[in-house]
Amino acid sequence: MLRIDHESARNTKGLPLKPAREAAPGTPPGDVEAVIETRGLTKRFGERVAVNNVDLSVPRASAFGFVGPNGAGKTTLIRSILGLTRLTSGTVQLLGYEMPKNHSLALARVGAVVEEPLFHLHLTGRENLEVIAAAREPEAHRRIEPALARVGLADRADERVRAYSMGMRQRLGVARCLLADPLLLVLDEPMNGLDPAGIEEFREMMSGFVSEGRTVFLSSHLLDEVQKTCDHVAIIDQGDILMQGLVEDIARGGHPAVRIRCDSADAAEHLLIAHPAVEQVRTTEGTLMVELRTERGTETDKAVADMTRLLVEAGVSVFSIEAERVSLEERFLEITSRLEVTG
Amino acid sequence: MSWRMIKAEWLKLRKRRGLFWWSLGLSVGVVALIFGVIEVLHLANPAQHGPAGGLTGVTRGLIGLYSAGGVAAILVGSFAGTADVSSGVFRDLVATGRSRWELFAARLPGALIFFIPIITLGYIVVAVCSLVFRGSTPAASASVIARGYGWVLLATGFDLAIALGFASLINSRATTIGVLIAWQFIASQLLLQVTWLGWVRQLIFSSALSRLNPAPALEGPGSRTVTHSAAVAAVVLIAWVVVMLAAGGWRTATRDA
Repeated sequence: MLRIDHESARNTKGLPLKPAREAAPGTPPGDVEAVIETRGLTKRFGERVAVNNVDLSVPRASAFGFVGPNGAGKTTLIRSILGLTRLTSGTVQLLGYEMPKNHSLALARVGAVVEEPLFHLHLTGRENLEVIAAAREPEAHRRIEPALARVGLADRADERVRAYSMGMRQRLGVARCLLADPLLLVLDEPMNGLDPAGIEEFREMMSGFVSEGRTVFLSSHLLDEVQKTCDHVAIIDQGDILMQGLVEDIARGGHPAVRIRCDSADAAEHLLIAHPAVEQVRTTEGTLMVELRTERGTETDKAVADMTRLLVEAGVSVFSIEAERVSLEERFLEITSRLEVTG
Repeated sequence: MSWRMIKAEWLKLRKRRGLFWWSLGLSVGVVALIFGVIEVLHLANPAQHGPAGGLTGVTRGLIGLYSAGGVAAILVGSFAGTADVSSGVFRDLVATGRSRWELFAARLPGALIFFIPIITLGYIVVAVCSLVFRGSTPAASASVIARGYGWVLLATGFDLAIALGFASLINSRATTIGVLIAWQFIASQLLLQVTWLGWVRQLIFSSALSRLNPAPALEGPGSRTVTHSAAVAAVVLIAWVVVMLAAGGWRTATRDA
């Protein structure tokens, strides 16, 4: 198994890597609070703004989800951060190094799969890793076998990549990242093409990386997956970061809601819609979904107690009341639809 | 640029079976065919057809090897220039933090390491056949054989470098192959005949390569349409290589990955 090795970080002259700013001299790369820090990052393609004035901060040793619909600007932002495309304006710091000025130092400990993992199809899995290892420090060659073993491709490493399934290519993409002994892994839609067992395995692999002190930056449009895998998240749409923070905080950030099961849904809906704490009521298969306009906590508790009393006094039999667990997906839809209304 | 990177470039080419067999067929197969056909004609009608070997055979072999091997060199150069970008791996190579100029610089030596043994094999066929099938004609001297080898390496290596630079610039293998073959075998030959172009024709690299050919026995006196000194020919070739490689390197260094 690959283990993180801060001390082995070297530049091409064999000298220890030193961050350009922020960290003290001699501090290993990535020994900063935020492994990715952007300020006012903007990328335009002609008149079209793909990424608009983005301030992003990715905490060290976190699993950071980067979510947004297709065409939201996720991949363009990743490419800008990695120096694969020129910025129109703004700044990027990667592992404490200013990009693109210090790209060699910063990228030496970054592993990335941008968009789909692509390879020389006529080469085997192992040979593809050799090609990338050749462009990295000499130690990268010694990491080929452990990396293949870690992603479960050791037995198939001598087959041509042309014969690999999409899932195997995703794994090989991660193995390619591991050649850097990365402090930061940038994975763009890594669950594409994986079956449920593969997704579960991938999830475990990523939590393993985080527990080793690596940071995983996971771009995805699968919000449920991000909620299960990541502890931090940023939501991007139309080139703008709409929100970023802990997944838990963001998922919880909308209006509180309760789910009520009772014997007379129509009567209950009629009663509750007139309640001052209620924002809206929806009925699905006899169950009421009541969205409140209260703040979370005591105010909501009091509103729920009041609504229960109202229903009981009106002769409605209440079977159960439970707080609605808001998913990141619902939160995301709420944020983006609000944007559409105001925009 | 490191030896490991050059080796990786060589690996990409070596494992491309189609490219390997085409290069071998064009470099070795074609000259073997030329010698074979002429020798058969000679055996069938010695009065009409001279032997395939001898000094004339070396000259014929050189021209055949340069023509067919030059096509092989263009194939190899165009593949080496486009392999990373067309496969999508260029992005991952850039994401290693390695300088783009270094990535580009590894391509030429990697391609030459792949190509030189193949073209050398082709030349061995030329040299052996010229000796074996010389009949009663004088054999080519060791000096001519050695200088012929140097010229074949120079001419095909030049084609390879030009193709690599041009392919890296436009990132299209098919266009590179089409443009360079059309230039080499059609356009440049026509331009060399346009006398009012004057000294400008000295800039055409096929003319400069012919100037350096050590065995121009098939060409009669004054058959060259453009005359220039060996020094000018060398400068022309160097300038072409520098310009094409600089253009390819610049594009590699500036393109979005």
